[in-house]
Amino acid sequence: MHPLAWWAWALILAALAIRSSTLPVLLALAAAAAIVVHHRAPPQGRATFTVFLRLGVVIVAIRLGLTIAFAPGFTGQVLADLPMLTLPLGDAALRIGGDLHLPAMLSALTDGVRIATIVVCVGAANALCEPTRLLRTAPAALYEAGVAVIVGLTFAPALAGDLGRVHAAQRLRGRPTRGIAAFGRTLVAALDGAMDRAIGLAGAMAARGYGRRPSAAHPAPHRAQTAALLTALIALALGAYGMTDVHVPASVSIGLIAGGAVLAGAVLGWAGRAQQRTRYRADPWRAPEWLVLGCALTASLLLLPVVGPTGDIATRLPWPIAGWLVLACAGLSAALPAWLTPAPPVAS
Amino acid sequence: MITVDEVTFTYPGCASPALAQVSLTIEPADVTLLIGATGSGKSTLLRLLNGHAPHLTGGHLVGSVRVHGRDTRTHPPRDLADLIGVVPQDPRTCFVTDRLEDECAYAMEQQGIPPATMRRRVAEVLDLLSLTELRHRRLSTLSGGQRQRVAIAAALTSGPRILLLDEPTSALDPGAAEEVLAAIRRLTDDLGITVVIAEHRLERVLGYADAVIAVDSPHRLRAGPTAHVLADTDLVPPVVHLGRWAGWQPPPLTVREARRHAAGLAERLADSAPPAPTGAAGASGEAVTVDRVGVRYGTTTALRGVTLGIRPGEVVALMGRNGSGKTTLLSAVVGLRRPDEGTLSVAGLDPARLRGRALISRVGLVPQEPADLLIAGTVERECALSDVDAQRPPGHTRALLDSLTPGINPTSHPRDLSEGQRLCCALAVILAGDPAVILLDEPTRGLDYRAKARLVAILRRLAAENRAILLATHDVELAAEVATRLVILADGEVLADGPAADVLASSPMFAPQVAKVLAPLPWLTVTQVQMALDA
Repeated sequence: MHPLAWWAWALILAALAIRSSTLPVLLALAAAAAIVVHHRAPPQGRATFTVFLRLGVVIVAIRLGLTIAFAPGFTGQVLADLPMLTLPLGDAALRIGGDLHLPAMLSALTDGVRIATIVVCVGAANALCEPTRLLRTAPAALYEAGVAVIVGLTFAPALAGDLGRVHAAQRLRGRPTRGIAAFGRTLVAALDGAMDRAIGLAGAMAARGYGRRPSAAHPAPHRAQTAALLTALIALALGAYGMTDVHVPASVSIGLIAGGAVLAGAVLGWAGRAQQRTRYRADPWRAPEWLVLGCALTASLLLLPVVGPTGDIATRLPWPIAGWLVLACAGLSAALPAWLTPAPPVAS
Repeated sequence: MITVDEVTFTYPGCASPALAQVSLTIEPADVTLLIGATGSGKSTLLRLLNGHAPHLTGGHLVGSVRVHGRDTRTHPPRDLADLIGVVPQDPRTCFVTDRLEDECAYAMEQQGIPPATMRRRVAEVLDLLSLTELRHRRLSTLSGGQRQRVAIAAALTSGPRILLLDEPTSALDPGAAEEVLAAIRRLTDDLGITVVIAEHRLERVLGYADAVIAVDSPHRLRAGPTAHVLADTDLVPPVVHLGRWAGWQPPPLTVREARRHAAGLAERLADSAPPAPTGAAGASGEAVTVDRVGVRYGTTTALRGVTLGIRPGEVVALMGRNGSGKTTLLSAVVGLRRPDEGTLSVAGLDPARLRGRALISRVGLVPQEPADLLIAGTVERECALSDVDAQRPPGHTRALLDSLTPGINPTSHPRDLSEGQRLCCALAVILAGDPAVILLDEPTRGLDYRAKARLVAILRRLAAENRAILLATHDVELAAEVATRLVILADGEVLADGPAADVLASSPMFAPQVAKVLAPLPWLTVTQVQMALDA
């Protein structure tokens, strides 16, 4: 599978999660990502994915905890009446605890699940294709920037491995391996290891010729190229921002993204010809890749008209049942790559 | 062709230079061996040759390093990549991709070599290093030796004129090391590649070297023909020691050369027998009992039906090819990996159920990378943490560490210590728990001959304190020095189990140098021979 296909699929799901504010939609998106990972990720990919899943649960828990602690001024059904503590803070007062309202909790839950879903989608892409493989697909002209991103992403699986090793070391030293203090120690040691690894990787890549200066026959990029590329990137960034902001019409965002992508593609193709880098067995983009992309786009076409800031999917359509039907179709479409793509090679 | 001219190099934040006023020339198409005690500046010299220092390390460079006319001052490593291939000590740190084939092609992709040429070269190099069967494997699934060969293959495919290798055979079993060295020799003979190897364990590699550079200290560097340079150093393999002690002229460098002189020595030794191994005397009961243990990772079987008992005071060396299950067995004995079949007990208890003080007072493991065990930012703090874990009075671990290797700066980061010092740190942490069973995974990696001699003395002392020691190692000389018993694993099964002297002397692959020289006499080490004849 082409790595970009999985990343495009996951990012589209993540964009949908950002725009929607209903729990069923978010849960359907997260479930679709999990199903695809379960069926199509290599074993070590699945192991990394569980780290992202746990992270998602922690995010939801923190979001709920914050709401319980600093209950914002909601009204409505009272779930529990917690003891209240008021701290004077200059002119204002900080209220801790107090009445816990159902709408506040629901809104916090949705917020938490939304962030968790985004994390899970990125985790799914990470599990389905190792970030190092993305490196090989970055357009030649964007190579340097691509590597920076990838080194950042390699952090996650390396960190998971380091966490395992440090955990083992803690046990060998007879230190407690459970509890917050132990987790803190493990995390610090693992981050240290991951940092060393990143620096080592940079050195190794330089030693193998990464970032070589173009020779005289292949001049450095033209200024016009740089300007056009910047314009394309700004269009892409604005479009991406539009996708996340429910007040911007989806058509504007999509237009910006499409325009930016075409311009970027043209510039990269032009600039890429000046590069002297070549590809060993480039990943082909064939039918399964189109299918994955198609599945994600179908899901977004189904969902985009019905998700929005006002929430309930049922109120946007004439009949509640239609809303559920649309959601079911979209969820299924997002999860379809689990069966439509070839299985990962078993040999490894 | 590399010329180093009047080079002084200082790392950032260091008062004294790592190398001062050194000059040398490395001739084309030679195998040049870089030797020196740890901390002498050997690694720094290697880093200077491809511009890694100072471009990626920072620091201050005076003088010039030229590679085929290119000055590293104006050419950072990326612009020298078409001339120099680098194989670092731990290949895991240098892998950019996740698949073997992609890894081999990476450097060529950077140079814009056409895909058809890339495919041909990858196929050739994989063949040369016997990696063809693994070509579709994921790098994370390879064993240590396979990884080392992949790193060499990845450096070779782009067709460099010079290859720099940092301890290329230290993680390899004797067979795999021989294969790698033979492949390196072929590179110089057939392709005219200049090879520079930094190495501590010289037994095997000495026969392949054309010249030696000895880094005696940051200020003193000697280069020249092998025999000439080695005459002035004590960092030499057993066969050179034996030759010097016996007064053979010219001093032999390889087993083959030594055999020509050995007839007389063999005659004098014929009437005496090597001393029986010490340890395990009067010890009763088993400290470790492994009974028909099997371990599987997914569909691969790492261990099957392993049965082994270790008594207190015994030093058992666990040998076998890379990937034969040595590390898995060690993790099972220390309780990190619960066996899928069979039972395993340490002092009658299941180690996988032990935690905290109950675990560390019974069994301790020094992992392959001792740094994995060290978690604090300074040696001082490391020792303090260890005192708390082991419930010892403050200063206990520090005293243990000083008894292993005196003079470690307490404020230095474990990462900045030498390999030998790091090993001692990890060992001191383990010893703080006062375990009856000590496991060591590949303890001599990165140790020079002096550090190794100290380790041998430490291990003997620990065995004399009636501890059971199990060490997984590829180093036959270490096994010959300390092991009372030898267990050979192959594909997760016990292939041989017996007194170290018998197994070592009878195996063509695991025979130490002295045994090879004096075959068929059963002498294993220089010390044994010296003691027998001096007495």
